[in-house]
Amino acid sequence: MKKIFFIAVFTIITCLIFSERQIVNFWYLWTGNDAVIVENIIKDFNESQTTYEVKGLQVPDVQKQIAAIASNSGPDVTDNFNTNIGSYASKGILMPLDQLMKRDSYGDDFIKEALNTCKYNGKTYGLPIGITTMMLYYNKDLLKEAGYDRVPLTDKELIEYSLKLTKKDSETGYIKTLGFPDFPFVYYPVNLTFALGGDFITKDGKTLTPDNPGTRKALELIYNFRKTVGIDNIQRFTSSAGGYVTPNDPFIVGDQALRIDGPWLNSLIKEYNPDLNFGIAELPYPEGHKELAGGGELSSSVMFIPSTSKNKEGAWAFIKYICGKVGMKSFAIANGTTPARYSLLKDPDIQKIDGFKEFAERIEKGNLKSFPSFPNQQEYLSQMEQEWELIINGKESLDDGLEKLTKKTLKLLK
Amino acid sequence: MNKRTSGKNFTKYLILILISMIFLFPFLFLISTSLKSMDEAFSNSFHLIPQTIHWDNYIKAFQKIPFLTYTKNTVVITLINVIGQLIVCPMIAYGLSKIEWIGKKIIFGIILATMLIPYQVTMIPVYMIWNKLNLVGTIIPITLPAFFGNAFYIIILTQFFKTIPNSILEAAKIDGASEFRIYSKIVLPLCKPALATVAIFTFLNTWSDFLGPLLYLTEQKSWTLSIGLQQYMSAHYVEWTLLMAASAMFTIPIVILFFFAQKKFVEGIVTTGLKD
Amino acid sequence: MHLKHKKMKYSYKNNLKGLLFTSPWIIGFLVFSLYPICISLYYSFTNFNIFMSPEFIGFDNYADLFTDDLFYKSLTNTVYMAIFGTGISIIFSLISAMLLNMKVKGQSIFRTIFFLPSIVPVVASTLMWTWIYNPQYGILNKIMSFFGLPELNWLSNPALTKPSLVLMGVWSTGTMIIIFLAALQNVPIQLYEAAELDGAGAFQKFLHITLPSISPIMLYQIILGLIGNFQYFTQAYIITGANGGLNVASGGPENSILFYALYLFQNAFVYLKMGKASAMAWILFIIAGIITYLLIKTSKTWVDYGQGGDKNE
Repeated sequence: MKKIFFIAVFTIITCLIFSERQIVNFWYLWTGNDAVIVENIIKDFNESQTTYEVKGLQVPDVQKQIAAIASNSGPDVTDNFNTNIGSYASKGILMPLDQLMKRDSYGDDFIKEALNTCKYNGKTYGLPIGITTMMLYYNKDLLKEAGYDRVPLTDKELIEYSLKLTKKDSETGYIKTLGFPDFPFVYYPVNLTFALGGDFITKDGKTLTPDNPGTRKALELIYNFRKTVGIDNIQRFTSSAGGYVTPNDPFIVGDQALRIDGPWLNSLIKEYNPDLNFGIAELPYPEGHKELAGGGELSSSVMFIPSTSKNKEGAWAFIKYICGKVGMKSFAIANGTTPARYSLLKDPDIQKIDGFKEFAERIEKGNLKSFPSFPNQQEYLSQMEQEWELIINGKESLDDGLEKLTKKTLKLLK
Repeated sequence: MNKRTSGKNFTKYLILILISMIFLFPFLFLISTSLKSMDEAFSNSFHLIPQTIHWDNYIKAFQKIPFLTYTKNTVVITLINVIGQLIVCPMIAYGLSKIEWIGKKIIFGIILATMLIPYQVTMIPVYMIWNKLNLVGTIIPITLPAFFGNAFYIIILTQFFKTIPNSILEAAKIDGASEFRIYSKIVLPLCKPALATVAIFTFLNTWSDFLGPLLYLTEQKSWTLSIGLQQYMSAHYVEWTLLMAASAMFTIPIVILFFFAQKKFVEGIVTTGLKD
Repeated sequence: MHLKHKKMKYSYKNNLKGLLFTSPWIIGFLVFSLYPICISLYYSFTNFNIFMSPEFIGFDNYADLFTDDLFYKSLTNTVYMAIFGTGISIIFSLISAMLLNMKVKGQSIFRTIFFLPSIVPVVASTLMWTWIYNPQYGILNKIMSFFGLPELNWLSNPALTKPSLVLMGVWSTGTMIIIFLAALQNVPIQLYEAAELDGAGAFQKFLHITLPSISPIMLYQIILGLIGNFQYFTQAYIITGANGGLNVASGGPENSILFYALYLFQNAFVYLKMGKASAMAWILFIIAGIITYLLIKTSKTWVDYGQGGDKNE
C-alpha cells in the first residue's frame, strides 16, 4: 500500500514537472504585420514543443530592451539588426553561440556573408533570420520612352540615363519624373559605395576608410546629378515622398524611373499598382570593372541570446527553430524577406515570391559586402551620413568633407 | 450688455471662429483621413469629405488590436493617476505657499531642479529600483509615483495658491480653525479651476504616455492604447488610415470628457468670484 | 499684520506642519529621485556604457563634449527652440486664453476646440503635420500657392525646419492656454469694474490689471516653457525617424533639428555612451538652472504677489 502511494506521488510529481513547460521570454522589435507573422511562428514552435514554451512580447522601442538587459531582467532571446552586434558584443551582453553551434553541428547552411554580419572578433554572437540587400528597380516604360531598352550597367551609364530620364513640369519647373535613385536616401550611398568598389575599412580591419574610391564615385555621382537638376527641386521631390512606402510612393505611381530598394518594395507594388511595368537589376559597377558587378551591401536581422538570459538552452532551441528551415521559410514567405540559408534560396515555394529570383542570384554571386562590425560602427555610419549630406547638398566640397571625416573618425576604432 | 457692444461681439466671434478653424483643421484632417481608403488618403487632390466613406477602417482598427482591453487598462491607470495627483499635489503646494516654514523655499527649489534633469539619464537607475523591488510587470511603477506628486503640477498649484489673499486664511485661524481645515475647507474650494487643470493634465499625460507603460508592462494583455497604436506601423509600411482611425478613437473620449470637465471649470469661476 | 507674519516664521509648529504637508513629495524624492540624480552625476565622470561597471575617467566626457561639433550644434538648435518656441507660444496662448475668457455664447465649444490639438496623441499629430508640410501634396503649400506665395520645403530645407516646429508647437499650446485661462479667472472682477469707473480702456486694463494679476503664473509658464523646450524631444524624434528611415541617429536635414535631448538620447541609447549622456544632462542642468535662477531673481521687479484683493483694500 505504502509502495503504491509512493509511486502515485512520484508519478504525479513527474507529470507536474514535465507538463509544466519552461518559459522562454522572447522580445522582438517587429511591429505591425511583421509582429503577427512572428507570433504565428511562436505558436508553431510551442505546438511542436514539450519542454519549452516561448512567450512573445512586442517591444517596439530599443530603450526597454537596453534598460531591462542592464538590470538583469531582460528577455531570454531577442532580435536586432546586425549593426548592433559589434557594440553589444564588446560590452559583454551577448552570448557567443559557437560552442552550441558546434555541439549541435548547426549552422553550415547559413549564407556565409550573412553569418559574417553576426560575428565580432572571430566569435558568432547571433544567427541571421533574414537578409536585406538592395537592388536597382527600374520602370521599363519610362526607360523605353527615353529610348533605352536595358538598365544602366555602369556608373557612367547611370548618370547619363538619369539626366535623360528626369523630367520637369514645363510650367512650374518642378520635377515630374525622377530619373535617379535619389530616394530614399538612407538606402543608397552605402550600397553605391560597395557597388562601386569601395569599402569602409581596410582588409586587415585596422583602419577606417571613409575616403575610399567607391564613396568618392558615389558622392560625385549624386552631387553631379543634384547640381544639374537643382538641389531644392530634388529636396522637394524626395521629402514629398516621405519616409515610409506609401501608395503615392514615386516609384509605385510611376514617377521615379530608377530606385534602389529592398525586396519588400515588390509586394507593395503588387498591392498598390499591380500594372506597373518594372524590372529588377544589379546595381551599376564602376566603368571598366565588370568583375565587380553584383556588388552592394548585405545586412541582416539577427536573433541573439543576451548573456543575462535565464534560459539559454530554451532560447537556443527557439533560435534553432526560427532560424531553421521551417521557421525561416514561413518568415520569408509571409513578409518577403530574403532567407539567410543556401538551401532556402533554392526552395520552390520561396522562389515563387515575386522578384525573389534576382535577389537570390545576386547573393549567390558573392560580391556583396557588409558594413564593418565594431563597437562604434553606429557612430561611424551616422558621422559619414552627416558629412555625405553636406557634400551632396553642395554645402561642402567632396575633398574637404572626406578629409574632415577621415580626421573625425580616426579615434572611433581605437 | 448694451447695444454698443453688438459690433464688438461680432468681431469677437469672427476672431474666435477664425482661430478655431486653424485649431480644428488638423483634427478634421485626422478624422477625414481615418474615413478614406489608402489610395484616396494619398491622392493628389485633397477632399475634406471622403469620396467614399470607409467606416470599415474603424472596424478594422478595432479588430487589429484588442482595443477594449487596452482601453480598460488605460482607463484604470489613468484614473489612479488622477486620484493620486489630486490628493497629493494640492497638499504639497499648500505646504509650499501658505505655511511659513524652514523648508518652503528649499523644497520648492529642489522640485524645480528635478525638472531640469532629462529623463533619459535617470530612466535606467529608476528602472533598476523598480526591478529590485520586483515590481516591473505590474502597474505600480506607473501609478504609485502619482501619490508622491508631480513637480509640474505642484509648481502650478503653488503659484495659484500664492494668489489667494492671506487675509482670508488668517481670519479663519483667528476663529480657531486647524491648518488642515483651512486647507480643505477654504483653499481647496477656492482653487477648483486650478484643481480641474491638474486633473485634466494628469488625465491627458497618463492617457497618452508611451514610454512608462512600455518600460514597465511586460505582458501584451496589460498594455495601454498608446503602445497599441504602434501596431499599425511596420518597418517599411504604415497603415495610415487605420492609425488615424485608432487615433480618433483614442482621442474622442478625451474630447467628450474635456467638454464636460470644462463646464465644471466654468462653475469653478463662479465660486472663486466669492473671494472677498 | 506684517509684523505678525515675521514672528510666525519658522516656529517649531510651522516647521512640523510644513513638513507634514510636503511629506509625500519628500518621500518620493528620497526614494525615487535622489539616487538616480546622484548616480547620473557620478556616471558623468565615468565611461559608463550601461552594461559594464563604470570606470572613473575624470572630466574626459566634459572635455569630449566641448570639442564635439554636434554638441554645439544641438545646443544652438535648442536655444533657438527655447527662445522662439517659448516666446511665441506664450504670446499666442495668452491671447487665446483672453479670447476664451470673453463672455460669448458657445464658450465651452470654443474652449474644447482650442484644447483639441493637445489631446491628439503626439505620434499621430506629428505624423499628421508631416503631411500638412509635405511640399507636393501638403495643404500648407496649396494654401501658399493659392495666395501667390512661393511653395516651400518645410521639413527638408535646413533653414525652415525649426520654424516649422515652432509653428507646430503653437498649434498645441492647449495646456498653456488652460493655465492662463485659470489664471485669468482668478483675477477679481471688482478690479476691472473699478478701473472701468476710472475710465480705463481695454489696453490699459490689460496692462495695469490683467498682466500684474497673472504675473506669478506668467513667470512659471515661462520657466516651464523653457524647461519643456530645453528637453524638446518627442516630435523631433518622430520627424527624424519618419524621414531618416533606418538611421536611428538622425538629426534631420543637415542636423538642423538635432536638439539637445535628441543628441543626448543618441549618445545614451544608440551609441551606448551613458557617461557622455549624463555629462550632457548635467551641463543642461547647469544652463537651465542658471537661467531659471536669474528669471526668478529678476522676477521680483515684475511679478506681483500682491494678491490684488489685499492691495486694493
